[in-house]
Amino acid sequence: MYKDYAGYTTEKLLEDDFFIESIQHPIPETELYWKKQIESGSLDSKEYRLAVHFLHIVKVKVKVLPEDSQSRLWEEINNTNNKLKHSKIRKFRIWGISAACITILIGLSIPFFLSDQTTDISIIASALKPDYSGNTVQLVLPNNRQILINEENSVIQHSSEGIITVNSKKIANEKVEVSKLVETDLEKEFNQLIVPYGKRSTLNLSDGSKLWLNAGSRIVYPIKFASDKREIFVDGEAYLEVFHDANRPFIVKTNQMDIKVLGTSFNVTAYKNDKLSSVVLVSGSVQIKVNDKQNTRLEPNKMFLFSEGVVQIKEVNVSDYTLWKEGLYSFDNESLTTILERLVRYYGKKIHYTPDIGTLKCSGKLDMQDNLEVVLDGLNISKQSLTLYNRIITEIYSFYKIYFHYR
Amino acid sequence: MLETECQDQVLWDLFLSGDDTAYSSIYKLYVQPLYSYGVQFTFDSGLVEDSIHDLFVKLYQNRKNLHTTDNIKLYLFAALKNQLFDIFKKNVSFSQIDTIEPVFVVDYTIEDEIIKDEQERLLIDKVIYMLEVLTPRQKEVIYYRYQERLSYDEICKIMGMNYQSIQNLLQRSFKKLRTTFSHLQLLSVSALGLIYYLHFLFLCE
Repeated sequence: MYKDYAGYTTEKLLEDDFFIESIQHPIPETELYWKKQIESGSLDSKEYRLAVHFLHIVKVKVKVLPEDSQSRLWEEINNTNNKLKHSKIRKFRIWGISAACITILIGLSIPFFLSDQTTDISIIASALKPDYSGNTVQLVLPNNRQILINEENSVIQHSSEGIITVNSKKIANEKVEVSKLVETDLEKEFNQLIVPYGKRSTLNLSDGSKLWLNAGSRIVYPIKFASDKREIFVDGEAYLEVFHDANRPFIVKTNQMDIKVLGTSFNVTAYKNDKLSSVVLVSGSVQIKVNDKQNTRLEPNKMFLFSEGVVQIKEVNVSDYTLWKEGLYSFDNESLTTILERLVRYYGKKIHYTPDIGTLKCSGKLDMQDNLEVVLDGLNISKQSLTLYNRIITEIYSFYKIYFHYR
Repeated sequence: MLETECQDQVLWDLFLSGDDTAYSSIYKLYVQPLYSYGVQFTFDSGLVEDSIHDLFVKLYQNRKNLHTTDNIKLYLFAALKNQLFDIFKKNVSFSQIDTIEPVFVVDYTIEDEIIKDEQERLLIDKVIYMLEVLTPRQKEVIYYRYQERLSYDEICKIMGMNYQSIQNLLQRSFKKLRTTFSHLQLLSVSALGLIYYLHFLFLCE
């Protein structure tokens, strides 16, 4: 009936299904059987015990997903399936971007459950997970065509007729590009401009608005603005000069803020991975809504700060926050950590420094057209003048060093 | 075994043809095993739930293009594993230098053991040591073979390795078992029985 296990080693036992079954689900018959095998001397007791031991050692703690969680998860699955059925987002568009397949689903599922008022652009934006790891600025057109731009600074122009030029070279004709698409509703077709670390870009939109994008940023914008509003999505830092159009308010959506303008110039900082978001208004007026709550009106020369649920408004020297687009970085009593992190983004290179000097406060202006080495040298000088005012750190200061290495 | 294969085929084909009840049955049958499996790769329970969500949405949206199968469990397990790996790859932010891959991070029942005396302490220490020297791949194969009771053929498919490689992983694990316990006097079978009875208690929490 059963096999003969004479002379079986631990290893052979562990490959035997009957043995495994007997130990994992013992019944009186099998227990008796194995006992007899050992007592008769045909099966070595030590080999047997070691095999049993192994089976017990590798037993895993079973983690259970509770019933209510299972139901909740199922509801979420159904919701997502329903939304996908009714939404105007074409299926091919979702599966066409194969590398981002999974993340698109994640991007879609979460907004649905947060708020029904989330418009398509936020969904699209969170779905289009950008690849910042490259060294090139990327302009991604709706048909998935990617235009790579190697220059450190670039100007992308959308003419009102739909011609796209990059650094004065004609790259594409939107009318031609979109004719290849099935969907003819141009307001639902989006471009994405990705600016990685170490690069900057200027974007001129078809309505006449101008945007300067800082390193490590991206913007999602439709080929054609809607008739009642002009909506874009920004992750990172951008300076905008919005073309005045009373009939179409310009709305900048970020991870947490909605900034509504009519025609005005302002700077928005909203890096997805940073806790702090801010808006600095140069001229005109903007209305800011955070996480769908509370509208705040901002005046020129004021800065709106949002961090971890707390809103702050303060008066600032706007050039401190907008000079980056000229390649200048001006700061007043800023912590060294903040300054260095900005340089890391701007240059796309890593900077190492001992944590203790991070809290040092510095004021000054850096010309970022220079190489990073020159800039950091400049920092050393400005820090030294600081030490004159800070007796506590004067002595220890000579031991602090900033060094950097190239990625 | 042929019966379950038949049943799987029927259920799956029904789902592929657009039957929503079949879809929901598949979910009810496999959500728990998928969850228990998924958490072996990450401590983040939410991530596993998200992956299951994405997996089922993807299945539904794509059902017209999916292959048929007579082994739904293996199909879903392999799909979930791919899903988790993809999510991990995408979540690596650009500032991180090292790549992060999900590794098998199993919680073994032995960790809940109550130490009664020195002899048990010695035994448990040895066990913990052995578990620590097992590589994630070895742990993964052991999981499939002894916890999920998959066939060698199924293990080859889900790990994307050939039979010989799977065998090697297992044999190396057995070798570690031998070397860890070579000098230790194993307790008598009955005493062993008592310790492992306690394991069962912890299992049914």
